[in-house]
This record gives sequence, structure tokens and C-alpha cells, in this order.
Amino acid sequence: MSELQKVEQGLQKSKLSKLLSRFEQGQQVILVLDVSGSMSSQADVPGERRIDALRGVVEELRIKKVPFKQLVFSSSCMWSDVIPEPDGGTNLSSALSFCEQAEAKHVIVVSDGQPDSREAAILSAKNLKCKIDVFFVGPKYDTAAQDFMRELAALSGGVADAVSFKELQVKVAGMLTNGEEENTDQKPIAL
Amino acid sequence: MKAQTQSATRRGSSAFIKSPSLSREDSYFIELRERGAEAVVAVNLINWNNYGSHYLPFQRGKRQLIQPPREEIAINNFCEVFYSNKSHKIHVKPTTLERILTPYILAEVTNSHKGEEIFLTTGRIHVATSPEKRKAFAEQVFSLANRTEAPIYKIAALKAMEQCFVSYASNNLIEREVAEKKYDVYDKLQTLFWRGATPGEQTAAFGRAYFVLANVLEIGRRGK
Repeated sequence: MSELQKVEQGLQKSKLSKLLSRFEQGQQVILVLDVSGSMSSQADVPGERRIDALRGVVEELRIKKVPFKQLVFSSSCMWSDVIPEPDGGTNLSSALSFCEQAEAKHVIVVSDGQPDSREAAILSAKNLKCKIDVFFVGPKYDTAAQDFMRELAALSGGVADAVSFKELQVKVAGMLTNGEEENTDQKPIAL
Repeated sequence: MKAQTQSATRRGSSAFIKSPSLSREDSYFIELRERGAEAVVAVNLINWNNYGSHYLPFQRGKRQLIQPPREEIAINNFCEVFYSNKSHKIHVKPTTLERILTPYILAEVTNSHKGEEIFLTTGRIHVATSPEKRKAFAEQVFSLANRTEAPIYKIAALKAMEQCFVSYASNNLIEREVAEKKYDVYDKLQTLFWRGATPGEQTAAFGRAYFVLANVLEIGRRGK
């Protein structure tokens, strides 16, 4: 084995480190989901509400064992693995402040509209001091909301994208697994 | 039962895995599910009587996330907690299972402690566990597996010890260097027992993996 190979091997993460970093990612990466009243509007597929499409996306992410913590927000915010029925305003600022208190390392915001207060949301994003990626799942014609999302993501060097719910699942999974797929094809033990 | 009969006729293939028939008293439900699953069996630590007045106003509202149990569940009794795709709520109900081993508790979020791992949360209640609870659970399953010699329990004990090991390592309760070495060994054995060329190789690897984890977690040691 050459010296270079030895150095490379030393730099490689051990299997346990990889496992634990997934475990830690589950604590430090926060998926911030908008469950405001407007999420009851129609999604990409006729007859399907945005909130139901979002539930489908989160369910798929869990099936793929993508590690993340989930924060839902409307007029207020809370940790919840359950996505409630849409109701209330879009208090993005309080959700971002909540992430700051939770010492988030990476925040992914999924929202369909404009927050209650843009200024407050921008201020909270500045205080957050971690990468914020933003996915806009609202109507494509709402350019003002999309511009705000871009501004929000640009503050931390994050990505802003207007996506369909189908694209959302692929993009979030890709972002959080870095292309590494969970190996689930284990064979049963022979007894 | 069929699997047990088949295994019992293959005597000598492994001294480690035997297949005695289990008595009813030895039939346990072992909760091995982890975060990501939508249902779990847990020990109830919530006094649901106190929740009646809290929850009633929510029943007409849109924000109710928990469907409280219809029958009373005493504190420290087991319950089933599951997410329903239909109602988009977490439902809680008493379990009909007789004997259960689980590392999880259903508690109020205000009673949470640092270092707890969350299985499921709604902001008000959560299903959680801790490294200490995982260790106690792994010890119970290990003891059951050794007492009954049932293969199904040995597999369950291995999984419980693996969950405990990851929990201990992530909370730095095992020295990192030791944890990495032991995990490397375990991981190689794991590959062998899932994909070994022969049943003998698989069962031998399984037996070694079992004791690697038991030793590092100090499970099953007498006179502790």
C-alpha cells in the first residue's frame, strides 16, 4: 500500500462515524414545514391539496430513512412528526428563531407563500447563522414570494428553488443523503 | 412453529442456535422498531384523565394531533401508539398483547430529559427512550434469549444490543476508539451472517457478533 493510500485510508470516515453522523444529522437538520391556511389549496395534481402532497413527501423521506427533525409552523410553531391540518398565518420568523434555539446546523424551509413579516423573517434568518435552503411549493405566478425565498436562501449561501412536490422529495432526499442510498436489501438469516 | 420444527431436526449444525418450543409464559412481544416507523408499543406515563379537559376543545378544531385513548390506560401500563394516514393523528390505545419488552415510554414533553431519543412527537407528547432504557431493554431480551434458547429471541437480542450500542456510542458512553474497533468487527461479522456462503458460517458469525456486542455493553455479566 502506498503512502498516499494510507493517508487516504486514514482520512476516510470509519463505518461507525458514518452511522453516528447520520444519527447526529437527525438531530441537527431541521425540515421547517409551512402548514398555514394556504396549504389547503390545490397542489400540482388536480384534487390533491398541498398539505396532503407534503404529507406524501415526508412519508417517502421517512421510508428512505432520511434523517431530519421536523418543525411545523403557521401562526406559531412546534416540533411535530404529524403534519396538522392547515390553519392560520405564516410566522416564518418564529420558526427560524425556534431553529436557532435548537442549535440547528442546516435548515430546509418548505413554504407556499409569503410570510407574515418579511423583515422579521430576514432578521431571524440572519441570527440563525446556518445554511438555509428554501423550497417554494406555491403557485408559479407568485414571483414576489419566489423572490423573497431567493433572498432568504442567499443570506446563508443556501439554495432556493421553486419545485413540484415530486421534485421536492427527490431534492430533499438528495440534499440530506448526499446521494448515498440506504442499503436495505439484507437477506434473512439461515437457521 | 414450522420453522422451529425444521430447525430442531438439523441438530449439530450449530450448538448456538437451538429451537425449543416456547411455552405461553415465554411468548413475548419485543419492540424493536425505530424512528421512522409509524407505530410503536410503549409504556404509558401519561395520566389521560388530566387530558380530558385539554383535548375536548380541540376535537372540534383543526389542530388536534392526538386521539386520546377511549379506554383508560393506567400509568406504567403498555399502550400502542400509531399514526393514522386517514385521520393524520397519533392514536393511543391499550394493547392486548400479554407480555411485552420495550425500551420506549409515552410521556409529556415537559417531562423530557436531555439525551433522550425521540421516536415520535407532536410537541405535547412524545414517545422517547434513553441509553439507560435501551441498556435495560437489551439486558431483558438477552436474558430471555439465553433462558429460552429461541432463535427468534437471539435475533431480537442482537438487534436490541445493536440499537443500544449506537445509542451509547453517540452519547459517548463508550470510548470512541473502542467503539470504532468493536463496530468494525461487528460490521464484518454482520456481513458474514447475512451473506455467508453456508448456514454454518452464518450461524458462527452470528454467535460471535452476539458476544462482541454483549461484551462491549457489559450485558449478561455476573457480579456487576
